[in-house]
Amino acid sequence: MDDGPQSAEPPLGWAGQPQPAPDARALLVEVAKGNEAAFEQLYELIVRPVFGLVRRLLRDAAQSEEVTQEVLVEVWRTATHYRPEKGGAMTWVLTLAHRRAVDRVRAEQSAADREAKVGSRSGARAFDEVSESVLGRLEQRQVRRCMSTLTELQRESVLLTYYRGYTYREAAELVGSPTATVKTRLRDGLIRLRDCLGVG
Amino acid sequence: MSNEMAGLTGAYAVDALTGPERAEFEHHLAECGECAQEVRELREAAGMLGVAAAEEPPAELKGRVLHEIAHTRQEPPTAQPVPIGTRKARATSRLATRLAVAASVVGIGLAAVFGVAAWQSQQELDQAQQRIEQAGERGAEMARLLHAPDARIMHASEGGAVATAIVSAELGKVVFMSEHMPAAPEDKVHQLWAINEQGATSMGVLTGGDVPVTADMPGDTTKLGVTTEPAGGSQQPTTDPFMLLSLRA
Ligand SMILES: [Zn+2]
Repeated sequence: MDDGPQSAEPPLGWAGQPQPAPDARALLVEVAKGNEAAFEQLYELIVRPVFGLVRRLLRDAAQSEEVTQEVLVEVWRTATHYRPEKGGAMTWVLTLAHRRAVDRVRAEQSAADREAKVGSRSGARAFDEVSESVLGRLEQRQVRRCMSTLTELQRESVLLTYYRGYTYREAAELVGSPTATVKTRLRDGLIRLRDCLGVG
Repeated sequence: MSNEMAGLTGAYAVDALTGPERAEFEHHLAECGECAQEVRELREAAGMLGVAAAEEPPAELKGRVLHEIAHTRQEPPTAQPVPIGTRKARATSRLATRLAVAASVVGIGLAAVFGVAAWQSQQELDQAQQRIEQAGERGAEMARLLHAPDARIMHASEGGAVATAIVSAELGKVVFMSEHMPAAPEDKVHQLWAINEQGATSMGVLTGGDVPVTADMPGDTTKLGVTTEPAGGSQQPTTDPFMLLSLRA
């Protein structure tokens, strides 16, 4: 996501904010200097996506809150390593959040457990569940529209890995496709999403 | 770009690579600008899915976070950033921190045993110190072990949990430390076992909270294993180990 000042159009993803979004990139750079007020402003920009993403992955409300707090404190602690020229602040934060939440979900639940929670070994079922609880609630029309340009297997591969924390091998098992296929579809799907969203 | 590696950008961008495959890809990333650029772009695309999942957190979270950051030291900007995705290395370096703290608590230098240890932050250091202090009088035993001429250090990781054991066959002792070990389910405990060809011998129940454990170890032990057992522990393991640490490198 381009949250830099140089963006010509309002950044994507700031639903309900037609006015230019506050500049997360500049705030994060300020945070790196130890500016607590900047952190408080940045907090408002990032906490909902972070919490929402962590919640998708962990499901458990208390755990999600705990991991969200860890992630936000890590943003503060490691902001000094953020390189604005390498990408947007939101991407940086969400990359961190995703990694932490995936760490946690893998540490606490085996793939089999996660699958059992979904209540079915069927990939289609797992996907329905994901798309209902997540995609169905996407407010960003653009993301929804772009996801719909993916093939079904591309979409499944992206959703199972990103929102559910499966490895691509686990995802392959879930959808009953060869791992090499899912690996490729995952990349193709993300590339298609990137091109459709016009990011990167 | 080239080869099979380029096909892994997508999986890597969404943390769907694990183990050796990820390590290998990161190695490649370090020297392939093209793949690095693609990973950045795909992360940005995936990040939009994160943004799209936005949800209102509990209101009291903000106060807690602001309070915590006010007491958290930032990493120095000059420090080498931890490469994205090297979870294991990072976790291991935290263990290194804890070992360093253990050593300082019991008054020995650790460099000879572990090489250079670096801590991530003052907060982590404090936490590590606290945990080592919880280990109390076992500190002295740890020190003896660290001093043993045949002391060896081994790591294993499973999911997000990392285990480190300092072993001396000569003393017949082991210090076992975990990091991010998931809490045992209710009415269950984690139990540590010394495993050899004859079977498993209990080395005790882990108290949780990643507190280091010092235990006697039968001489012919080849592996350490951690299982989940009913509260109070078992005579013999009733489940398969979810973490195994081989003592034979
Ligand atoms: Zn490459």
